[in-house]
Amino acid sequence: MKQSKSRVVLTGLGICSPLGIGVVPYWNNFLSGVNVLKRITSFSTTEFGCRHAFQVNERDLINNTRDNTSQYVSRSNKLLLVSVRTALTDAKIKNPVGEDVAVLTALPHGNWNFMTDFHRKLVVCGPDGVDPMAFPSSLINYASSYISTAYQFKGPNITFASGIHAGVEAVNFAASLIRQGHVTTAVVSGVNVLLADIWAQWSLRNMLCSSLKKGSTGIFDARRNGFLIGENASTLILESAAVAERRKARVYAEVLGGALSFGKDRRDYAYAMETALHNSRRSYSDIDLCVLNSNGLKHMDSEEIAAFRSIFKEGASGVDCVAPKDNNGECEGASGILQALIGAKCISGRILPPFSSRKYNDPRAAGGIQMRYGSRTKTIKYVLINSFDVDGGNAALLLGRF
Amino acid sequence: MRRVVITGIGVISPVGTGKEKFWQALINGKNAVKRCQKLDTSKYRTHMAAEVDDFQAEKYIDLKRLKHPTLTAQYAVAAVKMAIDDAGLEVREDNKIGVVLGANTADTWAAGEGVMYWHKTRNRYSSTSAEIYENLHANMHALRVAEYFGFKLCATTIPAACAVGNTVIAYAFDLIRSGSAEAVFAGGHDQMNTFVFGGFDKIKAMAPDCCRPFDKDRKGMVVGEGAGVLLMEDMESALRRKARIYGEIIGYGLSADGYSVAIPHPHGAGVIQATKMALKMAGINPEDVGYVNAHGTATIQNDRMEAKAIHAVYGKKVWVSSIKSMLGHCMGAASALEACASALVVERGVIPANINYTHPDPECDIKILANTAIKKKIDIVVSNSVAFGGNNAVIVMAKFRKERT
Repeated sequence: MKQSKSRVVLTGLGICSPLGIGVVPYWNNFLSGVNVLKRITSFSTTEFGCRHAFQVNERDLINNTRDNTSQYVSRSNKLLLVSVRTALTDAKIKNPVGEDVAVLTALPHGNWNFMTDFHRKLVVCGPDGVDPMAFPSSLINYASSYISTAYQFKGPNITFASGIHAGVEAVNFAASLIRQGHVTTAVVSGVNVLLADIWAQWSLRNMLCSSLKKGSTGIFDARRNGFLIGENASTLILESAAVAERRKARVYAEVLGGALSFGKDRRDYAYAMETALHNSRRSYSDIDLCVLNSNGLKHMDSEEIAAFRSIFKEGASGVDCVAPKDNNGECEGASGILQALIGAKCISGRILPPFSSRKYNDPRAAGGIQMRYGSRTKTIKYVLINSFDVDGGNAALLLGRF
Repeated sequence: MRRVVITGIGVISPVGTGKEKFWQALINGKNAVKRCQKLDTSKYRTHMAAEVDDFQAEKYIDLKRLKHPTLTAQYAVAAVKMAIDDAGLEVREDNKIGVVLGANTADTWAAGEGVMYWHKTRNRYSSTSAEIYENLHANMHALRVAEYFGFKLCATTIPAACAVGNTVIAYAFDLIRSGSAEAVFAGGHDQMNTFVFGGFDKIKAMAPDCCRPFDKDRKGMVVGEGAGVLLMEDMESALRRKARIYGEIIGYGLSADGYSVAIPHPHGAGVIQATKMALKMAGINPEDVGYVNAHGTATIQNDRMEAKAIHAVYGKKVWVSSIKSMLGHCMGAASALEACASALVVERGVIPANINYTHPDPECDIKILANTAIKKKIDIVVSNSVAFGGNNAVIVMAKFRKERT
């Protein structure tokens, strides 16, 4: 058994999502398969086939950010603030030593609207047309810095913008910082909000789901032809196991190890997952649950299943899986953190969630992996998280019962 | 834990493109600051910039293989190619090589002008090409590099504003030290753009004439551009292939001020914390350090803060200079270029000077190497970087010795 000094555990979970703010309401709604998909009203979608997304309720967000109405705090910052606050409350961390706390945030798009608007005003109106205070808040690393400043956390502050898998990259690096003794605690978050420009880009790349009118929303549904965007900010509190034990913190799970790879096919996905198992000194036969990346993009989903089958071989159909993007949407920067949050809840709550919330998935599209509807009790020791970006970055993470 | 060495350097800078041109300019104190040519600065208070004027992408890369190659993307791919060639590295198909890049803005700034904004304001997104939008993502350049060269380990993007270079080096260091990677290309890049020039001009951080870090008469920073990339490699792998080793990275320190997102901590608490973390990781004392390559932007607040931090850690015993006095502040490339310079300092035993230094600022009570480079046997170099948002990143490099105590 490794010394608890070098072990890293999850002691707090936070979330700001359309399914709920705070981990308890979120989890109940997630397990019940609540559907919060709504038509987009914040910008015009008339020219696109896809017009729906999983959006955080504006009233809920306002109610949870009444103490911060600064014009320099973007929507993604607000989601992040709420998520971090709920995670710190959940972890019952009070007055930490600022130098011992790192902040890592997966935020691929940064404060996109702030940057583009600032730049546009400079181009059109010149320097007299811009507010100098808006300049620092336009930078990509601003949101993460804002968290460090708001809570006076003085450990490393890093923004990961690598893509959809950036959250798992951030967790892996945070665990490394704790294992090396640089910090005792890390606040690791991922954020995604609806942005017209990003929406347009996904749409023009034919990656968004336009098959809703045919009644197809389920991942692995034969008629599904893309993903649905989900707004989300999720946060994990990682701590040194020794510190967590000393303060008698509740431990959701242990972070055992992770890995990265680059490439867009099954071998690349499999490499990250296999290396994560190797780095954690575990084998595929130990895995009780796999949290899939699958988001409705047919080709990539089938590559993920092929990778999964290549690792688990004949045992693949016996391993439980969950596809959380089915009723959370593709949460981009928040995806990996959300997947880890779900994995940690399954371990600590000894619960196996439904594979997805839809009953019209197509087992053939899912390559014969287990598709359960409804949750059930099960002791879960090890959860494999698989996360990858549509443009080639991959990251995997193994969580275990502490 | 594995040891991490530097075996390749790629440089595109306002004082020269290519490692040797860059180095000769640094030790000769070349000033790259001139009136800005790439932007119309007529509406701004200031007009000076440090621009790259000798970069020819075709000399290094096949542009046809890059989709919509913006200048920023060209900088990134070409700098990595230079580092590959410099190191004589062969990229096998089953490699464990990664790329970790960062930029202050990458090409996201471009979303504010041109076709994208035009279409947005008219709800006419669909009449343009997806690739134009795709290129605006902050992570696109690391992806393009990994695709272009066939790296299989990772394509990571860490936007840490002006502290990008040292932050990505810290991340890459961990990837290699833990055994996850055999080699990682780590660096930063940015091109001259209106967002950055106009933004810094608007907050009155820019100098109207030249860049004078730590000088009493300093008037601010000068925006620059370029790219700097280090090939960081597992020592055993480098020795096996008989690679030239510039130096060894032996530690890093990362911290946040936790004070303000726009103003540095007045006493440099965050820089002190990052420095102490880096020295502790390196297993050295402050007196072991022979040279500090300062962030030294030449703004009143940064230089005072940094000088206080340097004084608090080293006293007045260590030589300090800021090469931004010559290069300007190259944004995402800044600390990466400073890391490239630091690697050459430990290899060659010459310290580049802090040019334009004529009137010492009593508030910057440190040992500035003024105006002329000196030869000095250097074993350890520390490079500082500080960013908007209060992000600090410090790295420690050492002269390479196979046996290190």
